[in-house]
Formats: sequence, C-alpha cells, structure tokens
Amino acid sequence: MRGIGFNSLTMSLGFLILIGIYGMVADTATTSYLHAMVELMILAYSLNLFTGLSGYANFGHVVFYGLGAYTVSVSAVGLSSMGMSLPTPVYVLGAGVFAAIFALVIGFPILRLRGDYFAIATLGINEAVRVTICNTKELGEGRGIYILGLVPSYDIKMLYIQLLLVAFAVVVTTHIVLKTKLGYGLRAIRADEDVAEIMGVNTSKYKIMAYALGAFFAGLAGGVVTLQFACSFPEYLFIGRSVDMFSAIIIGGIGTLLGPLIGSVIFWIVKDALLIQFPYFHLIIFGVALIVLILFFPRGIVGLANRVLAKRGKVLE
Amino acid sequence: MAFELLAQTIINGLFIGFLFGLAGMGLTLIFGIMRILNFAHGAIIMLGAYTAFWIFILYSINPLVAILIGTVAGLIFGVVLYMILVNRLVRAPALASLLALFGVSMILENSMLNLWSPNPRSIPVDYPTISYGLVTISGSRVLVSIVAIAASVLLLATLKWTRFGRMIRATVQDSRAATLMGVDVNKVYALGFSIGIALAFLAGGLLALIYPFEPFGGLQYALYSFVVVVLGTLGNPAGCLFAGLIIGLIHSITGSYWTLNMSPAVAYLILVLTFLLRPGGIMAGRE
Amino acid sequence: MSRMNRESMLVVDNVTKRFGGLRALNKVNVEVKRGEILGLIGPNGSGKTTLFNVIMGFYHPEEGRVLLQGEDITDLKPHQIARRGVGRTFQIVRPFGDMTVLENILVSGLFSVPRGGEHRKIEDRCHEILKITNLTERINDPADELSIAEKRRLEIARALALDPQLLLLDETMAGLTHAEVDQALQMISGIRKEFGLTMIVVEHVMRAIMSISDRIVVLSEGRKIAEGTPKEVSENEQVLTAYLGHRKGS
Repeated sequence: MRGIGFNSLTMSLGFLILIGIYGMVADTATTSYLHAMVELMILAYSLNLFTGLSGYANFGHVVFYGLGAYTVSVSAVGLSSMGMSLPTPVYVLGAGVFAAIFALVIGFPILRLRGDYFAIATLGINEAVRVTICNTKELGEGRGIYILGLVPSYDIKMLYIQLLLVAFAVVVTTHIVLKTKLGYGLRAIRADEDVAEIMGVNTSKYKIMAYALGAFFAGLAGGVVTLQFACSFPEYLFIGRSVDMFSAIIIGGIGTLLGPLIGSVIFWIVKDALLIQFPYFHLIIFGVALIVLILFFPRGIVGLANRVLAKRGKVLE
Repeated sequence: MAFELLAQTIINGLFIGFLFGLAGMGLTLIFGIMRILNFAHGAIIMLGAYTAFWIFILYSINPLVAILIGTVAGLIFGVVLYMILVNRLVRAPALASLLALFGVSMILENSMLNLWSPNPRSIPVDYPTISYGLVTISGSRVLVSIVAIAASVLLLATLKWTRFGRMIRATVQDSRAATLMGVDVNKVYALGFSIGIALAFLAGGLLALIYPFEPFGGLQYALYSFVVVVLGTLGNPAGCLFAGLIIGLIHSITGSYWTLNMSPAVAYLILVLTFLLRPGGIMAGRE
Repeated sequence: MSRMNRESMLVVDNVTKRFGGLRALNKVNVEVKRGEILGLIGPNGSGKTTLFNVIMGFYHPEEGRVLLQGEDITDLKPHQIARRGVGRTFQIVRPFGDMTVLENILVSGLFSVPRGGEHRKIEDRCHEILKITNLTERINDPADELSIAEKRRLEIARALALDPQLLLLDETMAGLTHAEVDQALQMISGIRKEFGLTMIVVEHVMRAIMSISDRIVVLSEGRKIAEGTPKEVSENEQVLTAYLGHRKGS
C-alpha cells in the first residue's frame, strides 16, 4: 500500500509542475487564472490539514489568510516608515509565522471545545478580528492598507512561481503528516476522540499542532496575495470565502492527499463556467451541490475512485 | 445628560434583548431536541424578514398580522426543510450536518439576493414614540418586545404544561429513553425543528420593524444567536431569554459609549470568554 | 500505605467519585496483584464503568488516589496513563470506523512507544497481535465492515498494541453466542500466557467471569460489598441479595 501512497504524491507534485510550466509559457490572463486556482488549492490543503484530518469544523479558517495578508501590509508600512524593506520571501514567511502564532494562542482555549461549540467559536473569532480591523484606524478600517511601491513589485509570473513553491510545500507536508504519528493521531481523533486518548494519543497536543500548521499555510497564501495586489482588505476575512475551500475538499475527498488538489481544480473550472453561464445563480447551484455531495458522496472523488480501485487491490491517498 | 444617556442605553438594550432572546430560542430548541446546530439560522431570520415584508407590501395589511402570517409560513418552511434534508442529518457526523446547513444558508442567501436585490429594506411603519424627559422610547421597539415576550412565554408554557411539551423535554433529556417511553421521536424532531424555524421567522419579521435588512445580513444575527444560546446554555430555552437581555445590553452599551460597529466584536469576545471560563459546563462530555 | 507493596499492579485507594449529589463510587478500595485476573461484577449502575474511567484518568475522583505500580496516576490524563501501560476496551465497541483494521491497531502501536520508535518494528508487532486475535484475514478492511464478534476482538487487539501491563476488559462477551464466549475465554487465557498480563475484567456472563477470574470484587451502588475467590463470592449472602434485589427492581 505504501508504494501507491507514493504515487499519489508523485501525481500531485507532477500536476503542480505541469501547471507551473504551462503558467510560465501562457499569456498573463491564463497565468492569473492559474494563480487564483493554486491559491485556492493552498487554502484547501491548509484547511484539510486541520479540518480534513481531525474532523473539527473550522468555519473561521479565513482569519489566518487575512491575518497573513495584514502581517505583510502592516510590516511593509511600518518598515518603510523607518526607511527599511525586506526581501519578499521574508514578508511571506512572516505572514505564515504570525498566523501560526495566532492559532497557537487562540487554539489553546477553543480546541477544548467539541463539535458545534468549536464551529461557533471559530466563526466568532473570525468575525471579531474582521470587525476589529474594520474599525481600527491604524489598520485602514474598511478601506484596507495599500503598499504599492513599499515592497519590490513582481510580475505575475514571478508571484506564480512563489505561490507554486508554497503549494509544493503544503502537498509534501500533507504527505508527511499522513504517514507519521500526527496523521494517525488526527484520524483517530476524527473517528473517536475519547478512544484516541485512551490509545495514547495526546489529543490536545495533536489538535493544536494541526491547527497551527494549517494556519501557517493559510497565512503564507494571504502573504503572497498581498504582494500580488499590493494591498490587504478586510474582505479577505469574509466568511463566504470558506465556501470555496470546503467545497474543494469535499469534492476531492476530505482528509486525503489528492482530494484538495482534485477538488480545487474541478471547483475552479466549474465555478468559472457557471459564473459565465449563470452569473447570479452559481452560488445557489454550489449550495445544492454541496448538500448532495455531503449526503451521498461524503468521501468525495478519491473515495469513489477507491471503491473502484479496491477491487484491484489499489488505493489512492 | 449622563444619566439620561445611561437610561436610554439600558432601555434600548433591554428592548432589543428580548428580540435576541427570541432569535436564540429557535436555535436552542432545535439544538436541544436534535443535537443539530442550525447553521442556516441567520439566513432563515432574513427570510423571515423578507416574508413579513412582502406580505405587508403586497396585501397592505397590519404589519403585525403580516408577521404572524409569516411565522406560520415559517412553520411550513420548517416542515418542508425537515422532510427534504434535516431528517437525514440527525444521525450524521457534526461536520456533515454543519456543512449541509451551511449549504442551505448559501442557497437561501443567494436566492434572496436574486429575487429581491441586495438593497436594504425595512417595513415602513411609524409607531408613536413615548417620551419621558430626555429619554425616548420608540413605539416599534415596545411593540416588538411585547410580541417577543408573548411568544417566549407561550413557548415556555407549551414546553412546561402540554403533552407535546413533555414529549419535547423528554427527547431533550434523552432521545433513546424517550423512544422507549413511547414518544414518537421523529414527530418530535419534525415539529420541534419547524417551531424553531417559525421562531426564527418571527424574529426576522419583528427585526424588520426596527432595523433595515438585506440578503446577507443574517450572519450578524446568527452570531448573536450563537452567543445567546451559549451564554444561556445550549438547549435551554429559558436561559436564552436571560442571555438575550445581557447581549442586548452589551450591544446597546457598546453602541452608546464606543461605537455600534464594535458591538459584534464585543459580543464574540464575551462568547470566547464564556467558553474559557465555563469549559466544564459547555463541553460535550460523553459517557 | 502498607498494602502498596511491589506485588501490586494497581491500587485503588479509598476512591470517591460524585456526580452532583450522587456518589458513583464511595470509598472504594481495590488492589490488583501482578499477573492476576480480577473479575469486577455488580448490577447495572453499581459503578464498574465509573471505576474504569477513574483508573483511565477520564474522571478525577474527589477523594482517594490510584496507584499504578506504586506511582500515583490519579491526576494524569488518559493518554499518559495509556502510555504507562494501561489498555482498555469498551463495552459498546468503538473502532475507528473509517480506518482499516491494521490502521486501527497501528494508532495504539505508534503511540505506545517512546519517540523514535521504528515504524517497521511496530508494524511487525501489530501483525503478531492480529494473528493472536484472529483478525489477519481482515487486515485491510475498514473497521466498520467487521462483524460484532470481530469488532470485539479488534477492541482487544487495539488495547494489546499499546503493549500494556494492565488490561481493562469491559464486557467483551456481551451478546456473544455460547460458542463465541468459549472462543473469547480461550483467547483471553492465551493472551495471559503470551503477554503475562494483569487484567481487570467486567462481565455479565457469569459462567465466563467465574471461570477466568482469580479473584472477584463485587460493587453495588458505588460500594464494594464483597471480595474473594469466585467460590466465596458466589456463596456470599450480600452479593445474592444485591443481585436478586436488583433483578426484582428492574
């Protein structure tokens, strides 16, 4: 079974390389399109690391993305007022680290909550942060913070490469997590947290590790986006953004290695097509699709594929 | 002046608090009975507001009658939603039911957007205001509070004294034991869920009398309702009313002495503090 | 305490656990000697499961302590107690449904060893345990798809993969057929021989508990009302009343 797990990794990374090359040679519009798709992919993977594996519904995952974005804009503004600037990868890393630290701080109290209570708390924290940003002068209130000219500007292809590197990292991280104690522990927590504890899993520790890890990658994505548009908006923390990520991991297969990738690509293509066909109805169609998937195909495409492959003794991850 | 502001703040807070309590009751009733957190609660409150609004506009009848008709419509909507979807979620994992109801929320919000545009609306009625010195009380707020209190009392009395209420309470305590005692749990689920939805419609209709509303405006009220039910202990309708008043006061005090925009943030802060200080009481302990 | 000698695997020392006004356990003293099988019986609601939960660290008692090989484990968390060598099965089986049989066992295998344990070695040991519990054929099936008897065996296998010194078995035989009970009994004595385990066994199947226990402790309404060999206990007046009285009541 191990060898096939490795195949899932090769397939994911291979796909990223392919769209990487394609994005480099294609026109700018196509690169932007792929850029947005890869961004969704990273967010889906980061949500999958925590929610997919532990089963804890995190409806406030965008808070990490938003905080990552604001880390970059705030530090760029602050540094430039002192006449300094940093290389862009440092900004991006800083965004991930700040999001992860925030996750560690809030994770400590809220990860003691289970199921519905946890979901409520994540929503509450997300909204509290968003409302606070919207009402804080130093954070640009509802208008956002613009950093045009304060950081080295890159063209879309360079940013695309940076984003792909983050995507590579999150795929490999997911693979490693799935193969090690962390992954087994989280899947046990998802199945039955009390029993996991009795089987020796330090549930509090593993939950917070995954929570912070997911936050880190969401923060990185937020950092790259801020560099791309040279600004950060409170809209980055809009709860509705979670819809895309949740749809992506549910379509692809929750808690799997290939799922977020397959799900993001399908979601993105379908969304684009629907947006053109039914600009006003596409979210309604997605709502219906989400419900149908949850009720009838809870394990997504990877789960369906495995049902077929199982007869040949193979399995995807 | 300072005293008048305080008095005004407290009065406004209490009046809006009854409405928050009512909105929370619908949510907590459903949770208590079925252990399902209705994630579409906010969108359903907005749907209730639109329903009352359109009945009022199209038939130009008394707004209170329109709201009551809207509440009945909510009951029917609840039954339909239960039969199509919610009955399948009772035994599903928490994540699945949360996501499915999230999907319902998306469908409702975007349908409202398509049907009725993103423009804020409100039920345009002017009730006379009551003044006492510098303190003024808007008539519509008084009316809203009276209806909210009446509905809450009616619900609590139903739960306490009727046969149906006893069936609901038995199910809240232990659905398996209730089944053994001859309670038709499926019927209780269907009716309990529908009553919860009807209460959300009622809250939405009343809301439309005092605040403007729009398709995506539900999130804020859903979050207030979550805070109310958590403060009042999930699954306990009586606690909701009390918690609603507290949140109403906080909402109004933040508005008067800081800025109304920050009021949600303060409410969520209280939510997180509640979680922190009473983890034992609110953790889902099994066995 | 003088009873805390080296031969004790576990000492439950004067433990009281309250839920609201109810005393689920009332000054309970239980000692389990190294290598013995202690039967734990009592009517429903007598406190057996509560005692298991106290030993495992799910509940922290208001009074008294729990000592594992002389070490006070009263305030430890369940996973810490598990890693100190206490395994437990559940009366109502709770496998990790969407994981395969092997993965179910790997969880406790991976987490029982200190950091840096070798994956290969752990997997080998898990295969060994699957053989003993007769689950080898179902190794790659999702745990959801097992029969009830297989799920019960999986519970035991999972606890064994923790490499425990003390095993708490909670009604492993409830609902099994006569023949299946015999098989289970054989497996338990096989495990005892193979691993030299100490066990506490809760069981309603009297035939089973009388035949495998070295000693039996009887709980009723949170109190220990009798203790002794199976023969002594089965002749004890108080035990008979507790059981018969309860039967009449329910």
